[in-house]
Amino acid sequence: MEERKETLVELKHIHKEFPGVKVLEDISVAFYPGEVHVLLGENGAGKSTIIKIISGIYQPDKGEVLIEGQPGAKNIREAQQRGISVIHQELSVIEDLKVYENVFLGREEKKSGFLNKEKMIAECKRILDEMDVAIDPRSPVYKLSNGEKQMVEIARAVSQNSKLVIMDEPTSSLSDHEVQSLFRVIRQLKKDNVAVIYISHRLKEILEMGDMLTVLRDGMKIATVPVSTVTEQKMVEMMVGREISQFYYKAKAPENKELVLEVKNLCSKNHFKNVSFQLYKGEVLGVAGLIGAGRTELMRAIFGADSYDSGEVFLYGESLKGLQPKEIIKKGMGLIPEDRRGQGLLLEKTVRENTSLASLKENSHSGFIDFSWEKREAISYIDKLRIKTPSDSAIIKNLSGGNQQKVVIAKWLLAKSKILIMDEPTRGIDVNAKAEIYELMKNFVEEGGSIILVSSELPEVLGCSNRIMVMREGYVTGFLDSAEATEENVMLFASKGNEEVVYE
Amino acid sequence: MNKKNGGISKVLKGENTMLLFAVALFAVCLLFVPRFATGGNIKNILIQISINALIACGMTFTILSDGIDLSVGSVAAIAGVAGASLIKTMPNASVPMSILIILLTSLVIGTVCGALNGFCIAKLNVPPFIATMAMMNVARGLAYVFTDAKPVFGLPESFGFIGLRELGIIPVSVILMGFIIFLSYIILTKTCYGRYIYAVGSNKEVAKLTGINVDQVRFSVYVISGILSALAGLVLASKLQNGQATAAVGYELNAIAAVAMGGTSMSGGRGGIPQTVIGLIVIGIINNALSLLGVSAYWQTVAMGVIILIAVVIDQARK
Repeated sequence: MEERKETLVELKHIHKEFPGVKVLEDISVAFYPGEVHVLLGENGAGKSTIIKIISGIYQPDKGEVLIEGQPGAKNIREAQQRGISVIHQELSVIEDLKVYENVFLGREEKKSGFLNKEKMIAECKRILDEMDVAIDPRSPVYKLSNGEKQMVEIARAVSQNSKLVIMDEPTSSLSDHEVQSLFRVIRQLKKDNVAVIYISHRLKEILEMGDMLTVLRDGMKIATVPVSTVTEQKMVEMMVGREISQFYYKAKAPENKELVLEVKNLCSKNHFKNVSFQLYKGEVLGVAGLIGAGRTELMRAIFGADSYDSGEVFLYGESLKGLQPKEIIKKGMGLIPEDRRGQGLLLEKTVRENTSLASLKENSHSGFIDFSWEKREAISYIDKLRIKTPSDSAIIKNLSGGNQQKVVIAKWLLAKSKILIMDEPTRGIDVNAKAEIYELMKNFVEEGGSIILVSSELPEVLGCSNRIMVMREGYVTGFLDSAEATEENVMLFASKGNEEVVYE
Repeated sequence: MNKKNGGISKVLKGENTMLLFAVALFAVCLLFVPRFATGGNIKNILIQISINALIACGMTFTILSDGIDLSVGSVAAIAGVAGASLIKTMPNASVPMSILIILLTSLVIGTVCGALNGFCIAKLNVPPFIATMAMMNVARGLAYVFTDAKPVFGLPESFGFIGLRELGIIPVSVILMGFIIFLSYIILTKTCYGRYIYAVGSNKEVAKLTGINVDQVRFSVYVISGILSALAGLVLASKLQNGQATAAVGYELNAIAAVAMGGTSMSGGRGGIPQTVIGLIVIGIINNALSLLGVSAYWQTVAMGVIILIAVVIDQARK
């Protein structure tokens, strides 16, 4: 390869160890200005550790970091001052502050000692306009969607005139439209000769945006190659170290249509309007749409977690009006929420306690917990779902995302749920665990269960669903069966002002 | 974790840190505090912590559910006043009659006060701190109004059974404490309800989406705390042989100190009765030892403040 310009950040033979685990072994990689460098690897491969070393949070045990030829940053503040900004996977905006206050946090513009709000608002608006996102700088952040919050973080990084912007799965909570805005921003950054380190599990995005690709596995570098030389298949193989024959698992559509769930004209003022659909035994119904289409709110309403204004939900022909999740769970429904850590799991509790929580009462003896039942079932599900955990008594927050999600699934399987609502079930989960979750879903419907799969990842919806319902701004805009379901068709219904509502 | 405080927090992370501390404290007192190591003194310590123990058990329930109950002292006072007034009308009451009056008054007053707290918190979404602070003022005020701020004296001798008598060599109040501690422990560790309290305290949204009736759990812990506080107030009245509106002032802080001291998380979900018991014992030993060493009551108050602070620092370091 030809000699390129000066490196911006260079890692030389980096080693890093935590008590008992080698997280990085002899990593050498260079990042250049004006280049999008993708880090790819399963969870636990060492991507986050590399970021933390570059941004000064960790120091390497061996090896050296060079930033513009000088020794690396000793702490996060120094890294920031030297032009490195990180957009973390977990949102780190302050909800109670306004958009512009977040963007300028710690670097407020002042005029004779007082805050110069006008200047900050104007500057913030300019940045947001440049990014082509319609967010009011004066809006409090808690009012924004997750995708918009992500945009605010990106705006903050952009406003710092950074030399290196690190994005750790920036698109995991973005809709496709928002992803496109993000890509525009990244292209702009490239033009301004900024280096970008980009972490994502979405292979399509990598092909679209990446220039260079470094694949990591178990703390070691597998290869650094130009993105133009790889394919999706090739990337997966490099990542997992073996060939993956089939990734998505789609069960056969059920032959007899046995109605299990029917939603009729469901309305909720600011979230969704006049939603009607049917769910049959043994099928996966995909629900596609952009972020903010009202899908999560709809699912919470069906599950009884939030109230709705009008319309009705029937489960096995019985109305669910006015019922709480407690009663609806008893009738056989389970919800796997979008926010796994905040709504799906008791993070400080054990794998065992999380697994049993939804079926504790049914298996108790006059209110007393049956501890031997609890342990037996927990161990049996750890085994059946191949949950990687040191024991059933391990605290769940120490497990990887994929294994945490399997525990949430185990909770509902143990509670004998027949209908699972899965809201973004594979967000932030590595490729292997994803494939295992798809397999679980397939087995679940083949045994007579039904799944509503809400996902913003189109390949996932297309690959797993027997039918797809598309939503836009709270309305159902179309149903597609397997044969009609292509990315183009889904996007058509999800984004265009298509007034013709299609029913089967 | 950076290297500087790695060593300290490693020690503090041990689950049994407070237990070790309690044992060490006990050993030091045995060796260095005169008259500490006598059967009579140990009994004294147990009697001294018995009233706080009842309140602290209830407080453990509310704090585990990610709440707090500041009204415990006032509820104790109003229950003591009500029970004393009631028993005063029966000058010849037998011991069983006195016990019945004490239990009934605790149940009624405690349930009413606790249910009001629980209703405001679970149904009206008032923050627990505010709701129970309101009850703290209302109950205390009502106690003054009912008694015209005068103590209720002249109670039948049988009323002192729980607070003053002994069964064999064990004071009745200590037996009651043991029973309530045991019962609370069983409820919190062995029943579904107990598990639900931990779940609600860890994360209300997760609990709700898993089918737990969060409102019911949050409501009920305040009823439990109310009943145990009222019971504590009556034991106190029984011990002092009078009911007064000024009784049990500041008891909420003693109870919170015991709970926090043992390592129960102030943000709910972690901890339990064993931790509270350790906290009670440590506080009991410290107060007792300081008294025996002739330290003034004022300095004892200072010591209590420092203890609470240390407890919270430990809690933070554990995270």
